[in-house]
Amino acid sequence: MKALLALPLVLAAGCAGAWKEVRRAPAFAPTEAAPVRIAVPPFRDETGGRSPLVYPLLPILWVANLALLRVPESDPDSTEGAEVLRALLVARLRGSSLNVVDPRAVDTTLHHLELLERAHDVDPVELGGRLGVDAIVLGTLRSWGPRYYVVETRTIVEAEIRILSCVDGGEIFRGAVGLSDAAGITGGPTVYVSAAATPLAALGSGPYQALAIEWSERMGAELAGGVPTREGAPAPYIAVAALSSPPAEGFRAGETVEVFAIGAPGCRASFDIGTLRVRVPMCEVARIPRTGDPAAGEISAHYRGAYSLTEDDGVLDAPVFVTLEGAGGRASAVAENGPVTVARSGQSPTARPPRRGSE
Amino acid sequence: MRRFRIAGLLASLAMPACAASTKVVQPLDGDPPSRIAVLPFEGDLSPRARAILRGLVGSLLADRNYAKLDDEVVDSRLALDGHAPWNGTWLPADEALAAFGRSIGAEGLVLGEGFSDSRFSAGVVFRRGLTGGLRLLDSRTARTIWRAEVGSSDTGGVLLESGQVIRALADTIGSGSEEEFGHLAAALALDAARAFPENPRPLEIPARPRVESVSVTRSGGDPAPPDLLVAGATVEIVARGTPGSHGRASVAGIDGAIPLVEGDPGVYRGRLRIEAGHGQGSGPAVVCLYDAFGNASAPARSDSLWSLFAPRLDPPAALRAEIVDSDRRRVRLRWEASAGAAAYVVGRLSGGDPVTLEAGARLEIEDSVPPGGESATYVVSARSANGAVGPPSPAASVRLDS
Repeated sequence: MKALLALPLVLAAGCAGAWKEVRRAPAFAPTEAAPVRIAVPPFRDETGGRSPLVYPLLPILWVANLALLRVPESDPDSTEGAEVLRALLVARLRGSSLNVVDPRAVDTTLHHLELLERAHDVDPVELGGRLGVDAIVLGTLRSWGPRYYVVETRTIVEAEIRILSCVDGGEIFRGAVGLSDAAGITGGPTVYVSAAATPLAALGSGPYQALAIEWSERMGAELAGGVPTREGAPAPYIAVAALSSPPAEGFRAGETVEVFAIGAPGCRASFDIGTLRVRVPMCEVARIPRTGDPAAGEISAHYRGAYSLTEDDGVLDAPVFVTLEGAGGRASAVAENGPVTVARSGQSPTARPPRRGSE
Repeated sequence: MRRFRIAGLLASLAMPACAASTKVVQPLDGDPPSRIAVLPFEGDLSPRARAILRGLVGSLLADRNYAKLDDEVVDSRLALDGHAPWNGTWLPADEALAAFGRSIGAEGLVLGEGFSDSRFSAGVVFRRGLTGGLRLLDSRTARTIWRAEVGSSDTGGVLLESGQVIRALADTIGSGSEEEFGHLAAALALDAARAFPENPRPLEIPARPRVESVSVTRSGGDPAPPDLLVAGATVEIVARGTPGSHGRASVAGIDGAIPLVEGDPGVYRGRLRIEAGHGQGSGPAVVCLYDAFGNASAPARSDSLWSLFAPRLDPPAALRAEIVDSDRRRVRLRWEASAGAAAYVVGRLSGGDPVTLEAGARLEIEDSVPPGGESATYVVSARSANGAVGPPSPAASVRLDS
């Protein structure tokens, strides 16, 4: 049954394609405690714009769309595509160890400096000094359009990112990610009309937005670093997550919230106390055979983490969330023995403000 | 409402594809705020899904010239004020929200309400849709000044995908994935941000916060040398810098950064307990401060260097044990050495409660079994120098002569 379900996915791999090329300087390894502050000027559009050959074809494309009972859409032009890619990439990088200056603030400053159009050509050391950043991220859109092969149309989105250090002007990262989505024979057209019309319809309205979102996700993962994901790696699991001996009357300043978890080995682990303190690091303290039988070969990891409460910490009934991130994705669980209440120094726990409509 | 949903479904079926829509139900009514906070969204989504959606919407709104407060700062303040933003429904009345907004210096609050992720699948057709509402609450007046219904959906399946059967099946199978949710959320956020009123006042690049000094003190972990961090030691990191920020710190190259919390203005503290498994390395403490808008300082390092030695507590491997001799109630047990073992622990079961025997570093013991049972069963575990006990050996049993 699983093989039957997997078959369409395997065959559909012919519909979608992805390629990437990444070079990263070994020293470029930002962390939350040592982030790299970056500015992302507008991406440069080097696609050459829409081909003039497409315009005479437009009536045919509309007919093809009608044959497929679709409402004809116009594809976004590449200039808009470059803007969308930048916006999505910045959104993907928020909260990572690359600290992004608001793009609009960068644009305003570059505009005042009369550098908005030629930010890619300015010395990165000089530009970094003016923008107050550690590195400049330069994006170039290489491809944003369809390629027509009679029985199939491939919509391709490809863009390159370079990161230049504002300390010495050197390149610390270069990556190109390309994605394509095919409409036509590899998708399995079964009737004559769709065999001819599907590739034509895709010429005018390819899945640009979906490809742009996917591009930002893939490029963002390369840029942000973190736990590298790997195709086919098993998804992490959490078998046990618990608070170690929480006091019945709640925590007080100076005490320590200790969290324990058993789960997949080799993960980056952290816990959150509600939203009061988040991403508190946990440590993999030991690996133990899951069943006690080493011959079974399945190993579980024990994770432990602690947060020392300060006098200013206070929270009411906050669940503790444990998260494991590994090559196969992430897993999250609410710790047992919770939730946590912390009384601020010299105060009893805060009363919860009434929810809307519950007064 | 139900009629609306059915009509929406039919409309979406007419055009298979991923599509986002934003319907502004209340155009901007008032002066747009400059500083906003995007509060945790409400809805029937998982906490992670709500966080993804909020992060995307917030980031793309910043593209509309709004100075957005850092989500971590906002969430921490909400928790301190007794709110429960980790719940699916948590929003208090608008007056209370406005007061909260004023207390954190946000002129406007972006609220996401009633978000739901629906999925419909009937073999030849599927639809997944993400819908909800966004509104902008003016903290200065406690009045909603903009509101929209937002959504995005993906429809497909064999019936709708132009005869592309293979592709349609793959789309149907993948339509419930988290990846698909991410696509829907991004499409929704892109569309919603375009409809959000643009702030006419352009943003300027803010000054970065600064770290003036970093100091580290160690307690516990004795009798290690003063600059050595071993399991059980605690380091306290104190940083001084721009007030009104929060920080992250690490020491000796440890992976993961602890939070630093501001006590007195401009003084940030955090504690890290060294655990077995933090590994080996050396280096200073590194600190970064983030201001209320999430702008990071240049990382600052302590003058002092720290060495770390805290290997993981992996227990020794399992071993095999055998009974080499028995005479009446005396049993001689022997086992093979286990890599990484500093000592061995023997467990005996012979009627009554199990008994633990410490064998030290020896690979053999002679045991006198007290009267009672007719047989004795032994298991042996190795113990590492740092106390981790390995799995027990397969049981070795012997029949006892009475």
